[in-house]
Amino acid sequence: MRCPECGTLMNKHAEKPVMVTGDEIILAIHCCPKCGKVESEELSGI
Amino acid sequence: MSQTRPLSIPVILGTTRKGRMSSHAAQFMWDELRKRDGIVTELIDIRTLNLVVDDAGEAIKDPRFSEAMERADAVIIVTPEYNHGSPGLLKHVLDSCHKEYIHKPAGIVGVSAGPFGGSRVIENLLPILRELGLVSIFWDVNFGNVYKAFDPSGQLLDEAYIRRAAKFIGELIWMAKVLRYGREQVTL
Repeated sequence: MRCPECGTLMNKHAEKPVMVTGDEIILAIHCCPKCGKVESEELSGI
Repeated sequence: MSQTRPLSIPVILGTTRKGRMSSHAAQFMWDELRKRDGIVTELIDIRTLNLVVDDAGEAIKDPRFSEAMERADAVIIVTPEYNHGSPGLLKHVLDSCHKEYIHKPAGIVGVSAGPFGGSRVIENLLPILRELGLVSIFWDVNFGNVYKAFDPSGQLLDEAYIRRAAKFIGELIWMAKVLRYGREQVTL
């Protein structure tokens, strides 16, 4: 994933299972090493 | 490591009540934090946030709070102890974000009129912080008997709190640096 602010390749540092309307998904968290921007990405559940 | 950017460490004042002594504790912690080099900080009074109470979670995000949490490399939460727990509105505010917190350290400052300095509310908050993705540090600041810690104008009456705050802030900054490195450089 590229940072929407500066275009730098973001670092995925976390995954967390969360419930969204009754379905479990994995929320992946990415951080920009240049500007610190945080982005999340929804992945299919385990 | 991008330590050229200053560390962002906001202080959250976690109560909206009139006459809140926690505002003196939050102001004190904010003042102590601002003495450190390489830190940017702001005092976030949850009384000033625009959060509705007929919905919850990310649906009600306050943009200012969300952006501050995203920028943050660590947070200081100043909370009074009300009936052994935290103010409901503090929980309501904390619940409005999630991705913004993950792998960031949080230090808790407890405030109470009694002698225990908010130790019960701090214990109460720890599992909540964990579920939010925050990482607790192992220093707290406990303002027990808070009416003796500050005068009514907010002047600190016990200078031991300066040393306690310094230890707490030192630990928080160490955690903030390490976890920023992890978030930005260590891939899961």
